[in-house]
Amino acid sequence: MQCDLNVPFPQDVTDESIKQLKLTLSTLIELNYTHVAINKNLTPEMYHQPSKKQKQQMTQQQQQKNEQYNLKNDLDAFFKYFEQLENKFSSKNLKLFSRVTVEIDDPNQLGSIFINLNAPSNPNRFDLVAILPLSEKGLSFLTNNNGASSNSASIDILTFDYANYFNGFHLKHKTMNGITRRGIKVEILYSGIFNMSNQSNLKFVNNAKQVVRCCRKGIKTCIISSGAKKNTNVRGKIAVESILSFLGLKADIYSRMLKENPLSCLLNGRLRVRSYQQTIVSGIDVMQKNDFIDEESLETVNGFVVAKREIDDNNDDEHVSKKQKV
Amino acid sequence: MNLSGSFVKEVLLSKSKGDIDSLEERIKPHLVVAPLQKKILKAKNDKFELKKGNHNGPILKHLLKQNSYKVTNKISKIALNSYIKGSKINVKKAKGIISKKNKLNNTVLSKQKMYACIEKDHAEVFKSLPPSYEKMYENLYLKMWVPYIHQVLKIDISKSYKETLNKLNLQVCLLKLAISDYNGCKIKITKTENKSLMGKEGIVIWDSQKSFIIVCKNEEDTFNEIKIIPKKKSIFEIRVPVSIDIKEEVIFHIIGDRFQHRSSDRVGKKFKNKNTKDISYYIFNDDLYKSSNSS
Repeated sequence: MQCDLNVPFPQDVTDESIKQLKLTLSTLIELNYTHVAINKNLTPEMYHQPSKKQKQQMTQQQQQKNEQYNLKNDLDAFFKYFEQLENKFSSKNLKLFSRVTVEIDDPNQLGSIFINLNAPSNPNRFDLVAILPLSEKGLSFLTNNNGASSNSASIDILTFDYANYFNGFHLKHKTMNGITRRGIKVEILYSGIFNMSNQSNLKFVNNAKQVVRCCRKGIKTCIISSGAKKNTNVRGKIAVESILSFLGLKADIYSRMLKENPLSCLLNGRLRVRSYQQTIVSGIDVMQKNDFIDEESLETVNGFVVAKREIDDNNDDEHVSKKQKV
Repeated sequence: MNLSGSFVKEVLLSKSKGDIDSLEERIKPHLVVAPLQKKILKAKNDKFELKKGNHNGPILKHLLKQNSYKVTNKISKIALNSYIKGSKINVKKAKGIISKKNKLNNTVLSKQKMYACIEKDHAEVFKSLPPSYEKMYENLYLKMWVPYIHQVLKIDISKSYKETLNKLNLQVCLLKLAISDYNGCKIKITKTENKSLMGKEGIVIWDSQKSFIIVCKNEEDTFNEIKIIPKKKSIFEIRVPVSIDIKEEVIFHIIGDRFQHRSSDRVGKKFKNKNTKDISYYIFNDDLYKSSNSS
């Protein structure tokens, strides 16, 4: 088992960009990956609805963009493509999951987006929910009492923008320990190291070392994934381990960051969709979505999984009837 | 005081008329500390005793409070413990009796005949044997638990199962199941860290804080046993029947690690999501379903 929880979905959907996505997925299969999540990015412009005063300050081009864009249609389009990909790769031993990352600049702009994403009445729910803070206020949203910590379970992953310097905030032990104790994992994206332009490979090393330092060397807290937009930026197990050793991590952590930590992260997300507060689960397997339909004795009706008994299992009833005669 | 006492006797009392001895008792130099009157204590005790016979007025709640709650709780625990231990010993005795008989007659008795044989010859052993699985299935499960869970989830048996399930909401059903009672339910263990518990099946007699106590279902022709199964590190399967013939059933699973509360405490409990590092066996361990499919 190997996991890669960040394969970005293209911002503007064309035939070429989706071809590129399929290429990266097929290279991941070649490299023995089994669990892969496709990532949809939400910038603050997408979910924020500006007030009247803010509208007056904007230029005409921005206003037109704002009116044309609709978040609901965009998410529907994403799930349409996601289903197509699921059908295509279902035979090839690859499990696909959907993931959303919300970029936070100012927590006041968020509104009710987390409530809408996690509403149980929503037919299309994301398996994983991640947060990308752009400023110090965005990071403090995680530790605030009014913010995400009150409904902490709705968030699984914390990521950072590794291609640029963290502008204006410095990570501390105290805040990161508080976040990771609740089960939220911190993500490292390794694709930035192959990008030579704009000194982004140097920035990646600087940022990643800062993250590893505050997360207690990443023993139970860190996960590693590609953020690869091209298929050439994806690497196998041995190459990823060499990158991790370059960052100063010990050898016993490599398999944890590729296998165990991301799987527990996935379990957290799937249990949120399938169960009531991790007590009672519906269905047979949490990680599988629709695979058990193939069996004849099982059936799904309105989300419930129904098992039909066959002639072999009727022994119980016969026992009872015998007892009644006696 | 002694000086003043003699002065009082000699000078003051000798001049007064009447008996001197009776007057002495009245003016004693010492203070007498007597116990409190018993009548007041009795009146307090009456508050805690309910009046027998015709009681017209409403009964106050604080009068019904049980003072020796801890003692009764302890006694009931000891009684349950001794019952389970005694039943285990008696199952061993009964097995020995029947194996001797089988050797003498060179026959193998069926399950019903085994129970009948012991009831005739050894009445003392039969009394403390645990009840058979079939009896419990009929009385506890079919008569008690199934109608109860139909009432909780609002399932109509008269209609077809597809109609009833389309009306229900999954999230509401999961919430109600987390609160409901599991005494008399049929459970099966599908995933554990302890491999010897894998595939055990039975009917719940008692749902305690950290364990289920069940009557095991044995497929072979042996006596039924009582087993204590810890909730920690194991996942239980429950099936809710939807139709009359119990041919169609809805499958749910209980995660034991998050379910460690008594059934009375669970009603007002607000469940919360926690770190999933302690239930990682849920992914890595093998499943009953997979092993059955592969074989």
